[in-house]
Amino acid sequence: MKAKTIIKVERLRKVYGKQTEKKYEALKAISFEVAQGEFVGIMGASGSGKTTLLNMLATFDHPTSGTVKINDTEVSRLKGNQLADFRAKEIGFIFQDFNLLENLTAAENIGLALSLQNVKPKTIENSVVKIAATLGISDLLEKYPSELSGGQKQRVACARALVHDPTILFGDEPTGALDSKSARELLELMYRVNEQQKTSILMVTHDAFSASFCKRIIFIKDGQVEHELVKQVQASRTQFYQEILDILGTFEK
Amino acid sequence: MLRKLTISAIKYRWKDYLILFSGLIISSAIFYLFETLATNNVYLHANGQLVSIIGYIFSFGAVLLMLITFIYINYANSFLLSMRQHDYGLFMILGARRKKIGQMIWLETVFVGIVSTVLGIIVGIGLSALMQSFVLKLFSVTAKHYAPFWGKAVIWTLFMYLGLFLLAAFFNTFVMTRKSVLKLLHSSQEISRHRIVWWKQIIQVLCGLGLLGTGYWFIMHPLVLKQQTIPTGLFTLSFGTFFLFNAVITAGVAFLRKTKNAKKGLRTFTLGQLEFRIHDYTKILTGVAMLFALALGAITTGIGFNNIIEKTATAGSAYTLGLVGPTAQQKKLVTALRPQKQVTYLFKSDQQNVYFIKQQFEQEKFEIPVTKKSTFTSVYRGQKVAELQKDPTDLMTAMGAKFATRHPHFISERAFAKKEGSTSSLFLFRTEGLTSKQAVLDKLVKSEAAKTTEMSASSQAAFRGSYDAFKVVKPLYSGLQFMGIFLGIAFLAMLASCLMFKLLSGAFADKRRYELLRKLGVRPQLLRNAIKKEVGLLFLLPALVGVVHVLFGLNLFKGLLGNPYYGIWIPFTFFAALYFGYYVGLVLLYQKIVLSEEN
Ligand SMILES: Nc1ncnc2c1ncn2[C@@H]1O[C@H](COP(=O)(O)OP(=O)(O)OP(=O)(O)O)[C@@H](O)[C@H]1O
Ligand SMILES: [Mg+2]
Repeated sequence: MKAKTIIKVERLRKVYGKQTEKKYEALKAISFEVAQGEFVGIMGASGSGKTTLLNMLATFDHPTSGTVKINDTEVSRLKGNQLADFRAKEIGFIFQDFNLLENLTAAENIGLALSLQNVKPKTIENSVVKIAATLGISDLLEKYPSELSGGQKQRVACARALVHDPTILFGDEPTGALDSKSARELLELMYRVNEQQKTSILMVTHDAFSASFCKRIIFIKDGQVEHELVKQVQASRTQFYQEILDILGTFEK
Repeated sequence: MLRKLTISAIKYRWKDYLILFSGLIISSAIFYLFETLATNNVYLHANGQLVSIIGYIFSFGAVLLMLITFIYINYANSFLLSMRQHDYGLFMILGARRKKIGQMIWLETVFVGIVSTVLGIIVGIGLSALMQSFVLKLFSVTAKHYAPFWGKAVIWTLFMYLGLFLLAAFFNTFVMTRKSVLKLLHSSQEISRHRIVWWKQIIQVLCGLGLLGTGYWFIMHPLVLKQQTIPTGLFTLSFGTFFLFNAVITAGVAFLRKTKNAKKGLRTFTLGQLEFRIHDYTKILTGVAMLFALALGAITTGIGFNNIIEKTATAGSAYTLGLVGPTAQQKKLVTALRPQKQVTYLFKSDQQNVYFIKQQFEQEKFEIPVTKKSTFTSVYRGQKVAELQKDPTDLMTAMGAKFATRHPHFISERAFAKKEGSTSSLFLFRTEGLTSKQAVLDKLVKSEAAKTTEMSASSQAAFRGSYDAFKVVKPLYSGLQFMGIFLGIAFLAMLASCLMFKLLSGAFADKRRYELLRKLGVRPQLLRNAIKKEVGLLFLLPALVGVVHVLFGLNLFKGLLGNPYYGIWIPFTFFAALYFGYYVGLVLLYQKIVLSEEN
């Protein structure tokens, strides 16, 4: 049985630079799909267009041409309230940094997305407590971001991105600002969420270690898909890690 | 190298610097504006003859303005510090010595101070010239001895601002060279959260209420402290307001955050924003409340002087003007004035005497004003002929200088018919709102003067009705009126710049937060509403407190204005409209900065 397609990217192009300026084509007609429940990594050298791609998938930026469909909705057509509601319901996002509002406690940060949809306070509280328990951050709920470590902040951000049960979770180098131990914890967390809750995840990363937690990697070079690597069911994470390193090695030649 | 870094930092943050400079320039310009009045002894003396307390009002107004300026500069300075902390942290990491950094901070602060003060004075001179012509145009009030360029004011402004900046420079150097590198680097993420201790809050509320109560009591009983009433009032009200805001708002926000209702929509966020900045807020709210009260109070009193001129005039005579043998032309002009009352008495005269018909005065009684002391408003009472015979001054002055010294006689119609000489008539009328009818009334006076060629110079002093009194009283009060409106506008401008500064200094930090909210999927409309609420609170709270202050404060002007509450809805409405307009403008500006769409 084939899983449902939740993201469908077709001939997506992005050209930077206004009429008068020098143009730069950051994405050149990219096409790919992501199925329900997948954990996809996007890799590529610096400047290859990863962030650009993710911003368009997450509705933060408009493509020059081509389409992005999430759950059969063409996202570039959305505007105003529709766009806002789509973001609030369908999408979860973890940025590299500045994920949390410093003036709200961790619990308030996590619950914000729900309170925006006018969910009852009691329900919000329950959801927050539940997701916090799942991600192991129950004892951090009453703290303010400035009282949290970088790794803890990212875990809270992860909880915030997942609390409303989005169709897909996006991450742009979510481990980028973390040390290796915290990074590992966050990645294991994402892996678990993907396994247990079947949440689809699409994550941009440039290091092989982070990528090895994914189940499929899309390599991008100069705005085009260069290669795809699927993790074999029986392969261990270390084996997959080695495979990724090999591919990266061939790129550098 | 460091200098290069500084210049590039300024280039990069030019918008922040623009806010900093424009705020400081406006503030010093207004300080200058105030000083042009406060230090102009000739002007104050010329206009202070009527009211000896004017001098006191000014000296304490100056003290208050200094306090507000102090808060303002303190605020501007922390804005500057917060802008530069991160950079200085970076410089230190790059290996700059603390001493070197201290020097840079010192120089930068002093430089900002000098530039904004000098520019502020130049703007101030322009502003005061503009203000002079504005008040002249709008209220036809001229202030004698007032000069927009006033050396003493320049010196005082320089002295005050440069002094404060020097202090700020030492303070900054001290703070920056003592903070750890890490603290400097992460300064923008720090939050100022204070745990609420309930007994402290309660003490503050009690202090606040106590101070406010004391202040209001002394204002209501100005005879207790006499001239010390104003400084006492300013002191108690300022601190009372501060304590009350500090205690009530912090506790209120903390309480609201705990309620179930706070979890709806963006309220959590708005309340979080408020709690986040509460300590800045209470200071600025106090300043704004006091400025609001001063501005509204000054404008109300200024316009009150306008009322007093008319009231003094109408207390002098029941009729606006008396015309002897009115021409058709004059009658037409009078009709245009829409008089409430008009009456014609016939008379005959010889060298020593004037003869009136008694019956006419029985049918249409000659009226005199009766003035109520408490409200200083006048009602009119018809006199019996006997009374009139006893004291005919009002009637005779209304006839003008030519007849004023003759003896009036009230005789029967038959006796009148037998008298020799031609019959003439005295036409009297009464109209309200003299200020706006000055042009027509002046025409009448001129045409009346043209009739009697033998009029002597001294005759002009005679009051032919309330309008003549109006002409005499007006210049006495117009200096005060000018002062009131001038100060009102100055305080209003200061208030506006305070609010703007407060708001814009937070706007750039807020941009990131609103950006994140938008990415999380908050509807644009919700974001706009959140901004409306946040800014609205900043406007509303001080306005409420300010209005109460004014309502009490006006009591101080009882001696001067009779009934200072008379017609206050006019300045209040005017002020409310202005304030609301400013609110809308700032909300739009803020939304524009904070919600600027991605591409
Ligand atoms: N707003 C922009 N205007 C113009 N060019 C841009 C803009 N944003 C990105 N680019 C260019 O597009 C290209 C792709 O940028 P992108 O940020 O997607 O790279 P990336 O793969 O995320 O790199 P990194 O791993 O360093 O984050 C780069 O060459 C960059 O210079
Ligand atoms: Mg990137």
